[in-house]
Amino acid sequence: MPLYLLPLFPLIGFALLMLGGRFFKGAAGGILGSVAVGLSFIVALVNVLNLPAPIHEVLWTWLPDMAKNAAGASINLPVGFYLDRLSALMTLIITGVGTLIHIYSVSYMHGDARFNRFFAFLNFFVAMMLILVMADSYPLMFVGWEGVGTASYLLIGFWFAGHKDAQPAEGISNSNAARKAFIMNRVGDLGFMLGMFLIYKAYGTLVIPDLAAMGGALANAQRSIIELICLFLLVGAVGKSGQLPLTTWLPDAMAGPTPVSALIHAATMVTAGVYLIARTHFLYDLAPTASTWVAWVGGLTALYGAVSALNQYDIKKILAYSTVSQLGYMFMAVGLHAYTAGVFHLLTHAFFKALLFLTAGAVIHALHDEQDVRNMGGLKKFMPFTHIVSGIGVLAISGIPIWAGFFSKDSILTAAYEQNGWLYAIGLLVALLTAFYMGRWYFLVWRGTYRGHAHPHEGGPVLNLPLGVLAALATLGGFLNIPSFLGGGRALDGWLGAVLPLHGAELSVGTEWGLTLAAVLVGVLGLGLAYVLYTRKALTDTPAGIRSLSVNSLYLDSLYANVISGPAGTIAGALDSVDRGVDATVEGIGETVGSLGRVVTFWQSGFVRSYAVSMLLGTTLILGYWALKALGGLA
Amino acid sequence: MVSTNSYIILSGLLFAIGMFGVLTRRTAVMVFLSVELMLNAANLSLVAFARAWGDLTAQTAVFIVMTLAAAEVAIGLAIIVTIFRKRETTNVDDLAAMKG
Repeated sequence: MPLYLLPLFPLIGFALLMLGGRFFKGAAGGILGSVAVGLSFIVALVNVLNLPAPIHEVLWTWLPDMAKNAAGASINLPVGFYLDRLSALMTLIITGVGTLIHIYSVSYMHGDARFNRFFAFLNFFVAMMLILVMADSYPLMFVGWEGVGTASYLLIGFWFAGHKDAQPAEGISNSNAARKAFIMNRVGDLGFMLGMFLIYKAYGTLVIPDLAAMGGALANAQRSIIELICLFLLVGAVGKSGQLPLTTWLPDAMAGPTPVSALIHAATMVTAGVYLIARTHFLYDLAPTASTWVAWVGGLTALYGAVSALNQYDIKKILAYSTVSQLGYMFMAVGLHAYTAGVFHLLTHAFFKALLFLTAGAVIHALHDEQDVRNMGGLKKFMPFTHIVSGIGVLAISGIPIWAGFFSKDSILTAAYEQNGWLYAIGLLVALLTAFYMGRWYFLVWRGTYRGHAHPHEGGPVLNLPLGVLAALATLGGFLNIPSFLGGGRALDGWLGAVLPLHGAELSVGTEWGLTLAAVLVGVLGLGLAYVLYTRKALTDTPAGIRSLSVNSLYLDSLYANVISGPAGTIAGALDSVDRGVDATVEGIGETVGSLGRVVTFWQSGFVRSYAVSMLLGTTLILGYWALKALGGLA
Repeated sequence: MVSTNSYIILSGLLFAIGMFGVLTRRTAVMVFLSVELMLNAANLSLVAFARAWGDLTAQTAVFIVMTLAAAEVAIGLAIIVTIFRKRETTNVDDLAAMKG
């Protein structure tokens, strides 16, 4: 099936809901949105099942005569879609998880005043995300890149008038979060653009398959230019994926409705950075320094996110920092050239993190918009189904065997062990912290006794269906890529191997077992620690120093406030007073002239008869002068 | 034959009465009337001088003034009627919208 159908269906849904939203009553708009994405999923599935070779579909010429090639012929930049196994996998994740989250939203957003608008934005997001992953050139990818940024902005600030349009103060913080995301992404976008310009300068083309086909010729460019391209693209990826140092927008982005957090800020959009690096692997393979940077950015972000998640009390903030941390894992993997491991973790993370967010949404829904885990607990009794699926999510993210996260995290840790001991140590520590804070999340929400006052209830079937499907995927997703020492064939690695290079020799079976055991051990240890701390004693806190460090997410926000916002505010204040000075000068001149004028205006009294008197006096004076002159009086 | 002086004195008196009317009356119509009086005072003096000098030039000037005065009456009264319709008054002191 033609590739353009993929973004076309959600775009049609977007247009219908945007222009004709008033004609869709009740849940009709939501169903329309879900069907649009569902159709895309079917198209994606059909295409993936018939993908013997990459499909390159050129639709039309976008920028004609963009350059001349060596032979003097002009090169056009086309708008086209490119589907190879990497982008095919991404389209499956986007449309598959996207459909589930659309269905979930039909129930979750039920009764919202801007129900249809919400689905219009979600459909727009899916269309743009599909353009991003299927773009055959960097400029087109950038279009999608900005499109998803816009959708993210619109959806983070969806409740700009407060939740359910009722709390204006909260609304302001929501729209501030949206602006923060948008503005911080601009920094990354600058990097993306500079990277694009450099690619064009170095290779004369921006078409991704053409670049990939150049193969060895890519190395002809100066090494420094290749490194620089990769570093600029890293800046772009860092912005979009909420990595250090541009990470602070992502936790704030949780101001949006929970399905948005699940779809955009966990499963798809934030992984665009990982996708960008994996897509550009042909350059990163030639840029060892930039790749090391990618890996370290990932490793440090993973640690940062995990430490920040330790003591959060907002049920979604914990998951948000966890997303930051897991994205760090993916960056670490692609930075270590273990692209398949990174993409594999992207896939499993999409399953279990979307699942966790959606269960968090179900809890928030059941507790009437309560988000503080201190007011939860014991929900296992009230919401047995949601409890089980969220338990599966926790097991998956903690890396407990058979669940998806175990396999993907293990392949990343293995790659780290092969190449960089420090990163491996960080990765293992993060695995421990991940299991710990997710255990804390689980025990605080589900176990113990209920500490709130609402009357929790299980969500309806529409809410539960996506949870069930995602739980199944989070359980089974890992089996796509069973490592060989466990008797598997690394099916996903093999499948992706057609487009992504596979690096690293197989380690000895003994080492592999050791690494796996270590990973499982820290996972169990983390969960056990959480169990001891958060069920025996109801609510124990870590020491105050560490806690404030963690609650304030290592003071990164304060750092930005002091280092960037503060001075910027001072400069703006100074410029403002200069402006006011100029303004006051102009005002002063005007005021002076005006007051001079007012001295004379009393003359113009508006009384006709006083004018007549003036005329009389004037005439008398003139006549008197002439009379005097005629009579020789002045001589 | 009446002396030119008498005409001039009468003309001066009429002019002074007209002037007094313009300065003291508040009703636009009366102001207007006074202006007419002043115009005709001027006419009278012109005619008187024309007779005294036996020169008709001043008399032609008088005809011009009379036609102009007729036109002025037509326009001036129209303006006053319009103002009255709008403002329900012809008091010139109330028509002070152009006050600076």
